[in-house]
Amino acid sequence: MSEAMHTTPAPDGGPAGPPVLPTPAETTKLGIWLWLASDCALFASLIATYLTLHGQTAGGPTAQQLFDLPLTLVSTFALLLSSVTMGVALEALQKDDIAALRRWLVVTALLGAIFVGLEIREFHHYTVSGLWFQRSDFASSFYVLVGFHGLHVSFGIAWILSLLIFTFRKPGGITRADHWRFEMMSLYWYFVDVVWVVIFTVIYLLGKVG
Amino acid sequence: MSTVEPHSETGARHGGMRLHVTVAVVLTVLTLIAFGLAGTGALPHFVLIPVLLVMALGQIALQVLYYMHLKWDSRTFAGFFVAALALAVVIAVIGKTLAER
Repeated sequence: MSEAMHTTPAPDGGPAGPPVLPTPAETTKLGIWLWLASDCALFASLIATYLTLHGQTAGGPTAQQLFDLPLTLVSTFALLLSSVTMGVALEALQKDDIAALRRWLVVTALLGAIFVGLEIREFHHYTVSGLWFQRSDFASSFYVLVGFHGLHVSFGIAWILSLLIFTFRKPGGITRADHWRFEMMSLYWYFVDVVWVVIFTVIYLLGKVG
Repeated sequence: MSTVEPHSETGARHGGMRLHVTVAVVLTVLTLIAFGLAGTGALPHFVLIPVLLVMALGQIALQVLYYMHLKWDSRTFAGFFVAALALAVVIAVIGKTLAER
């Protein structure tokens, strides 16, 4: 793509031929990258909001008192491992091994679900510990940022499951022409993992060390 | 298995599984070190904070280059990502500066 519209060179060095339009896959990839870039700016805004407000605890619990690094480490490994299984799924796709593709997509979605489940458990623990959403500016900015990321992971799981259904329902089975659908989904999944690296470093690790 | 194989309608080139797993191992090690440093407080703050941020940048670079294929993909996409990342850093620095006022 992006080197978007090419022209066909004439064999005799004369005027170029008609332009070659980008394929739907190339156009979609450009769209996905634009979306990810804008999402990146959106997360940056939420992180900046958190950084501005995280000291405003209104006498409630602080990040240092609440954050449980071992739990965050387990969540992080679930998401990190899901990136590996996504890679294995794409490798299976390259080999046209659709059974393995389905298997590894299920494993990836399960790891994502574990991550989301741990996040819900963490939110519940914080809430019963006195950090409910409206408790302080710190609480609101924390829940919005981390919850927004959790929603992204949930959307990613839904995307994986929809492609899983696609592998069963596509008439004639999955062909090379369908690969881009899986590549676009994997780009999103890896992006969600990249955002988590920023969140666990800036919010959890730096929050814990104070 | 080749380390890099050309691929796909979108023009992406994927690293092979060996490269994928190698990157995963490096990411795991960096993650463990980051959590270890933050959990034990082994370093003074003025050293720990930049170390954690540099390690995060390293992890982001590895994921974006090898998992999201920017190492092999069109530079246009890399441009999008770098521009977004630069904007993100500027916004975060403004936020941090406001918080310290």
